[in-house]
This record gives sequence, structure tokens and C-alpha cells, in this order.
Amino acid sequence: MTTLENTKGVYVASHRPGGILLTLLGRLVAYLPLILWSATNIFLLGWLLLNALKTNQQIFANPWALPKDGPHWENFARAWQVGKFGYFVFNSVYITAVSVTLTVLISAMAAYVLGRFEFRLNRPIYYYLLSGLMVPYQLLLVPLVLQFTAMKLYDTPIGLILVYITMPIPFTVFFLAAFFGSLPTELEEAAALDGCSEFGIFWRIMFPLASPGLITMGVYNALWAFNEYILSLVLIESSQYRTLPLGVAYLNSAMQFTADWSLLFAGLIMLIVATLSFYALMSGRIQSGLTVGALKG
Amino acid sequence: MGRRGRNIVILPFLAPAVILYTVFFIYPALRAFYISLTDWSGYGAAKFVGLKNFAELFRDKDFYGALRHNIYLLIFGGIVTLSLAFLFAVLLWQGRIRGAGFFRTLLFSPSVVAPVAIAVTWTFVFSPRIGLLNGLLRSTGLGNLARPWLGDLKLVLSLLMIVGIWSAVGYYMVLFLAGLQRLPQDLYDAAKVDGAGPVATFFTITLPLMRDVLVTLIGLYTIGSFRTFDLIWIMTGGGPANASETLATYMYRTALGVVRFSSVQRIGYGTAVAVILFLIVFVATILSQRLGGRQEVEY
Repeated sequence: MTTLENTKGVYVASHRPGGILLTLLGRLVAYLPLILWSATNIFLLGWLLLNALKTNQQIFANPWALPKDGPHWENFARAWQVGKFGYFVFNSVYITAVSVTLTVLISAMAAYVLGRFEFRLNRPIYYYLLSGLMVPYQLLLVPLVLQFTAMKLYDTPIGLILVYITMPIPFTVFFLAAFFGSLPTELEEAAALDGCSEFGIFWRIMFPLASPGLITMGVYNALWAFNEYILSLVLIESSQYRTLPLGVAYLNSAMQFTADWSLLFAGLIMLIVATLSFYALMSGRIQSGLTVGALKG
Repeated sequence: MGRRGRNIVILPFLAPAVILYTVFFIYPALRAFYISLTDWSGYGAAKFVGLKNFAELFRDKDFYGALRHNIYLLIFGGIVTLSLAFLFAVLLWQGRIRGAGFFRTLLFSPSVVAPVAIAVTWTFVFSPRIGLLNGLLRSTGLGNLARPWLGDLKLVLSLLMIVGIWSAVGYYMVLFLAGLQRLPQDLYDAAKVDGAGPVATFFTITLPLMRDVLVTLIGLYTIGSFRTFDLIWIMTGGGPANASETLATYMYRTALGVVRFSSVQRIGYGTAVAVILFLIVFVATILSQRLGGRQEVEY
């Protein structure tokens, strides 16, 4: 690790007179952009929270001022009831939970077969499932609205769940097929000798063995489904079926008429804090989970 | 692997994924191509018009405007995002900075936040009346610079670009870091023994070795940039006066718009825009896979 300093120009400098000054300068140059960039993140979240705790009059008076007469927590209660955020949170949580569980299960079953079984249609089916990776959702919007209207799935949570199960299938299968393919065969063969059924081998042996991969995909798809906007925008119409992002977006577009900014900020904080607290609990797993598969190797 | 009866799981295990994917993904995707060949407002029957929609697109000023905005966002947003991300990754690499993990976690955090939330937050920053930016300008005596930022025809696209950069840098930084951490450390030790300076080391070792990663990330950025919808739609809706329209928002407005299936909607035409968008993403995916997989640098 001795080369480390070198790359910054500090190592060389510290051997000359005045090196200490240059070392400090080098450190400052390295830290400054990082500190500035991180500061904007903290700053934005901080001022959002601050304004979520003010009254509308106080926000209008000065967005930079602190809430003078103490925090107005009632904004959150107002968002929950008047703003219907109680519905939105409930919808988001159960739609995400159901669709992620099912998409990981369904994809894992397909990936298990595609990753470990040899049969003639294996590769064609694999590439068929993967082809969806190249399709932007914009292509699907109009046909999905027409199809959902015909199937009586338009503006229903079930319809949205079905889409949220389907869209992640290509990537989840791609990721898990490689994962299942890399697992050892000994355990599964031993189980077969002991008379375990083929379904039992999957449930009791392969599925638990694959749990690191399943969790990674669960996290990845949960964040995607929870934050998703355009599909729900197109497929959901009734306000009681809105998810959190959809609820925040509609409230935001109503601002020019209502100007109830404190309500919007309270709802916005709920949407942001939900994923950020999840992230705070498992930031390492989420970072690797969200970037997985982007780079080969 | 030659157990008898093992193959009985193939069909039941593949069926749910294949059926759902066919019904809710492939079928609508294929149908989109047909819809793009029709003229339809949502009422009555769709009229088959062949390639007429595409012919019209090539004469459509708004379409070219949207495409131009996409290219502007791609090139300038891409250069700034990837350069900053690379810079941050190199700074955080090899543990030469204290608190690297903290910075990394913090810089990545916008990637876990809903784009909707990022869009609304920055709408608040740029808001004319209650915005943080105008508030700052007014309180520092620069009140004459205050303006409705997102309503400014000349500035709006660049402001959206800045928000896009802010939200994406952390993500690409983590990807660059993943690439950097795979580089062989002994080359750097050798370079140090040879007395190579930091700049020389970067250009002769790091950059050539990171070529594939860079190409892959350029491809990823291209695809992501063309797909971006949430940020722009929520912050500006493509306005004012189409000044921030992109293919994604133009497609949405034309085909689905604000009032769904009203007579102003041109469903076939909007879907034709979606087909163009698909073709761009398709070509970018193929290209980045072809170019990114090549190993050119040998040591």
C-alpha cells in the first residue's frame, strides 16, 4: 500500500522541503470534491425535512428559515389522512412485497432449470427470456393499457402486481441461472439417492443454497418496484390504488392549484425515508445488488 | 446428472415465467410494432396506414427537437457524469482517503431514492416562489438573478441535465470502483519502482486497463439516458414550449397524454416514437456488448 500516496502527488512531494504544505494541499484537493458532493446530498434531505415540519406560511416566508415555533409534526398526520398517504404507503408495501416474492420465486424456478438441466430447448428459452433486457418500457405502455382494459385488469392492484412480477423476469433469470449453474452437484445427488423427490430437491436443497443470490435479486427488485413510476402512471387511475411515487407525483402536479407544500414535503419525506432507512440497514448489499450484472466478471 | 425422471420438473418450473413473460411482455412488445403502423385516436377502429407514421416522424420538427435534446443530454450529461464518477472512484480507491466507506455510501444514496422523489425535491430547489435557489439569491443580495428557473427556455434543459448528473454520479462511481478493484496491484508497485508519477501511472496503466469498463459504462449511460422519463416528466413535462422534450416524454404525451384516449391523442404515432426509442436502445445495447467485451490491452 506504499504506492497509494504516490498517485496523489503527495508521496513525492513529502520528500522535498515544503513537503508538508504540499501534503496538506494534496489532501484538501482530494477531499474537497468528495465533501462538496456529499454535502449537497445531506443538505437537500435536511432542508426537505425542515420544510416538512413548517407551516405553509412559514415555507412561503422563507424556505431557508428554521421552524420557529417548533416542529409541525401534524403535517405528517395530515398527509396520512387528508393526503391519503395511508393508502399509498399500504399499496406500495403490499404491492412490492407480493410482486417481489413471486417474481423471485418464479424466476428462480426457471433459472434452476435453465442453469442446471440439459435439454434441447434450453438455450432458445434462455435467450427468449433474456431478450426483454433490451426493451424500454415505453414500447409496452400503449399495448399494456389496451390489453389490461380488455382483460379487466386496468386500474387494479392485481394488474400492477402482474406487471411488477413480469418486468423483472429477464434480469432475475439471467442472474439466477448463472448462480444456480455455479452450485455444486454433490448435495443434490445425495438427496436423490436418499429418495428425495425432484421437487423436494429444489425446495429443500437448491433453493436454500441459492439464498445469497435470491436475496440480492429480492433487494434489487424491491427497490425497483417500490420506486417505479411510469408503469403505475399508465395502469392505475383511481386515487385509492396509487402507490407512494404515484401519490407524490400527483400531489406535486396539484401544487399550482393547492400550494399545500407542507403536505407535499411530508409525503415526499415518507417516500425518501422508506428506501433510505432500508439502505442505511444494508448499504453494502444494496450497493452491490443495484450494480450487479452491469459489469462482467 | 443422469438421474431418471429428473426432467419432470422442467415443464412445471419453466411454465410460470414463460407464460407471464409471453403474455405481459413479448405479446405487448410485438403488438406495439403493429400499433405503430396504424392511425388511431382511441375511438372507433384503428386504421392501418403502413409506414406513414414513420414517414411523418422524419418531417416532424418536435420529434427532431426531442431527439436533439436527447443527444445533448447524452453527450454533455454523459461526459460530466462519467468523468466525475471516475474521479470520485479513483479518489476513494485503494483506501487512501479516510472515511472512504462513508463517502461511498453517501454518494451512492441518490440511487436508492425514487426518481419521482428526486424530481420533486429539485422542483422545490428551482421553484420560483419558495425555491431554495431563489431564496439564496434574494438573501445574498443577488435577487435580480432570481427567476422561475424551470420556466426558462434557455436554461431548462441544462438544469435537468444537472439533476440527472447529481442523481447518477454515485451509481457510476460504484461501478468504476468495482472495475478498479479488479486491476492487478503489482503493476502499480512496478510503476512506483520505475519512478512513474501519479499522472503517468493513471494514463499508462489505469486508463488502458479500464477501457472495457469505460466502454460498458458509456453503453449503460446511453441506454439509461434515452430511457429517462420520470425526472423530466415530473419537473417540466417536456416544457416550457417543448424546450425540454425528449423522445420518452414526446412518446408519452403523443400516445397517452394528460387526458387518456381523448381525440387529441395519436396512439399509433406515439407508438412509432416508442419503436424508434426501442431501436436506439437496441443498437446501443448490441454495440456496447460488442465493443466492451474486447480485450485489447496486454501486459
